[in-house]
Amino acid sequence: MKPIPWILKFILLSILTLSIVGSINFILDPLQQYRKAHFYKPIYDNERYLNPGLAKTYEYNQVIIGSSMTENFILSDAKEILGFNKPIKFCMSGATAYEIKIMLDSAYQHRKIDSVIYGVDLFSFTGETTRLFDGEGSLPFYLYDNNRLNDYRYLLSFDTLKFFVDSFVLPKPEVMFDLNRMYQWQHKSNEDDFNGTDRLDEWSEKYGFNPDYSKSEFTLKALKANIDTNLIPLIQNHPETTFYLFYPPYSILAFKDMENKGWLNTVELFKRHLLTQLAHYPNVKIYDFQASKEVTCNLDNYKDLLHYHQRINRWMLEEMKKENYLTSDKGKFGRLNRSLISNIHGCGIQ
Amino acid sequence: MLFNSYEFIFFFLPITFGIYFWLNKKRLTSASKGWMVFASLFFYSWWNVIYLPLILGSILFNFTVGSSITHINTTHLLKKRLSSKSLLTFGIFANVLLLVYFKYMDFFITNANTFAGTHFNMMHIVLPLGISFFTFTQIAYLVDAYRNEVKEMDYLNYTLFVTFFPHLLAGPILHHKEMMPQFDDIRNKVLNTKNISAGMYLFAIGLFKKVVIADTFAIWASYGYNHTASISLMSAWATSLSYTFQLYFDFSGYTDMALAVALLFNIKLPINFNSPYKALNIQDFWRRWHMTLSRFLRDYIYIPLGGNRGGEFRTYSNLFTVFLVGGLWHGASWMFVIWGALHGVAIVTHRLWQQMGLKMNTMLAWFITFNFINITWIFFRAKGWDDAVNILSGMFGLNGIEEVSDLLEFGGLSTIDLFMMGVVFILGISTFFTPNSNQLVSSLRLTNKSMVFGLFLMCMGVLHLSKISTFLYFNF
Repeated sequence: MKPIPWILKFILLSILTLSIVGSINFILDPLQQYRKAHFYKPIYDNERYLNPGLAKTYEYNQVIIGSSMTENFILSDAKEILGFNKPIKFCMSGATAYEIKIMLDSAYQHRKIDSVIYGVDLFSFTGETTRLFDGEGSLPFYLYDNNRLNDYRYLLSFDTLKFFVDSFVLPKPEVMFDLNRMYQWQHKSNEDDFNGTDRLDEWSEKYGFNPDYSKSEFTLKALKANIDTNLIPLIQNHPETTFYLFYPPYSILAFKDMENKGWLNTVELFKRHLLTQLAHYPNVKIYDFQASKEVTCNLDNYKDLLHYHQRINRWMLEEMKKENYLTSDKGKFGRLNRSLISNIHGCGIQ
Repeated sequence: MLFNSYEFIFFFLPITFGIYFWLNKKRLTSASKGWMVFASLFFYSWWNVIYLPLILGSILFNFTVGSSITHINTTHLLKKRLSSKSLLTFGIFANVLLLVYFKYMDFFITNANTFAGTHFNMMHIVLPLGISFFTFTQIAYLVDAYRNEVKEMDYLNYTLFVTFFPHLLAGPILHHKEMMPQFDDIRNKVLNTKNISAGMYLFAIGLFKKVVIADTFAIWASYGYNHTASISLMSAWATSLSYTFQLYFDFSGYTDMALAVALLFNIKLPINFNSPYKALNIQDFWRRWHMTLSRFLRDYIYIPLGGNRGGEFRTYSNLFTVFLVGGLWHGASWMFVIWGALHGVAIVTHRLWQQMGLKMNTMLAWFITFNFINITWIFFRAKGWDDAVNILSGMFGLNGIEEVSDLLEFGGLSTIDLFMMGVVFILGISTFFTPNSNQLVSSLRLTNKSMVFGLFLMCMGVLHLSKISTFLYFNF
């Protein structure tokens, strides 16, 4: 063959092949960026990619958002207990405060949101204020904006096709297809995994509860900066939304570990800062479930030193309704904080 | 801008190419050179324009020094050679100082704080893109000017030589004398369809090597290197081999793309990789791996140090020094120094072996060489000494042996990813038996078969530019 026809064929067929793959990805749209799935049962997986799609294509009035501490909430529980009518979850495993802000900003562009349940996981607030959980490039910003032109990254991607095949062709547990239980991890563990004896073993082996976090990252400066940049503006800009902020009840062993690492004071100052910054906003409720002896001291609630059983998620919704753990003023704040400290030594766990 | 990006493939390259040849067709050759310089600087500034003044300053400085050296050499008598030598020394010193400031300052500060007990604050200087490459290229130019091997009195030409975007960020490290005649050759200013077809084919191969093969190995390699604690036998081997293949496919794939892009403009860059993992001894490896760096180190460090002219002991110490410098050139860390030292020791050992006239069975020689390279890459890749030792202990079975099923779960890959990993692993192994990209291109025949093969590699490459990152964090 002469070079010119070879070159032309190469270029034209490349363009053709890429257009075909792009069109297939557009039609399959496994991450529901353009429309709600209708000819297949969608899977709720790969949160950072699926969330911005759902934000555009699903109907919702309430949002549950946060790290793995929020992934086990069941939407029907939120309807039943808090009277939500159209809730959705935009949780992200290992979510950072920045990622949560990006996600909520995106959701606000598409829908009116009357309530947000926001899991204030301390670890979400560590590090830089633009920290992404899995490093640079791990959040597909091109799906979070309103610009369709940059979606070629989604369409011209073999991974999009792979995601379709992997999710819909290969067998997966039924619960992953259930919108009501979207993103939950409860089913990945056995009931036996929630076991106090194992937790004590884990503790006695001095297995730091989260070795990924070094002491230097857990600084008050970083925690405060994340509150100021990634949380407060959301609340300021959306007075129409009620924010249910809550501190997830890690096991008491996690707090013992924090005490050993000298972090407890930082935790208190972090919470105090959040309260002082937000006390005068009528659209915020802050719940401190870390003060709850009945949850944190019962190690059978935990599958590791941080992560609690799904029943605790339901319990938290009930407690939000009852407002027992609401830290509305400095007096209430002090009482809750004192009970957290006294639990560390008063649970009868040595 | 990276070659493996949508912006480069669909916008930057076609536009730069089109305008360059259009200007040449209009016989506006200076304008076409100017356009190429502009495009290259745009390419360089794509992410961050902040270092543009730095590279321009470095170019202006080196051009001034280089052309002054040439001027002194050509117009003055022999006694003036002294001043051209001092000018050269000054030029090299300034270049090295720039590199030290940007690349090694924090390294020195950390070491001073550790060993001398000082309390200097780290400067957290961000490394300007390609600084190691453009600094070395220009040091070579200064030396060549001093040796009267180049005479460049045109600023635009010189800027084009340094910034020509195919080699700007990741080499190959070029000599002025192998580049500028090509730019000035009138025959290279018209479209050459043979070069274009070969360039497209080579680009497709390079892109595939980088984004499909290397980036797939990277998943396993980075997972392994991030989880070195008590890593077991098979996982440790999988980790170290994955990185060994990742590095080769990444760097050689990227270089293939550089050569390919230059070829579209009728410029032939020197090859940089020649099946290094087929090497039968360590010297052979360094003649096949990052060849232009080896050439640089030989011509501008080893030979000026005296090479092999100062007796056996001096030769060995020169070889070792070259490898220490080579190690440190790769990055500001003791791990690179250790890596360089290990290779230095190996080169010296190999030379001793040769001097004694000993021979070795080919298969055994390959086996030892490859394993040595594989093990030394661990020091190159690991974040610290402990991680490196962990991987090594794993590889020697000190952390126990896991079930095969555990190995498959290692890295938490999905079924499809595991399948891809298998395919890529076979491709990795195949490098030992198949021709490399340079050989594939030189034997390219323009048939439907080669077109379909290139098309497949190209499309797979483009479809792998954007990844849905899988989170290798399954302990939520």
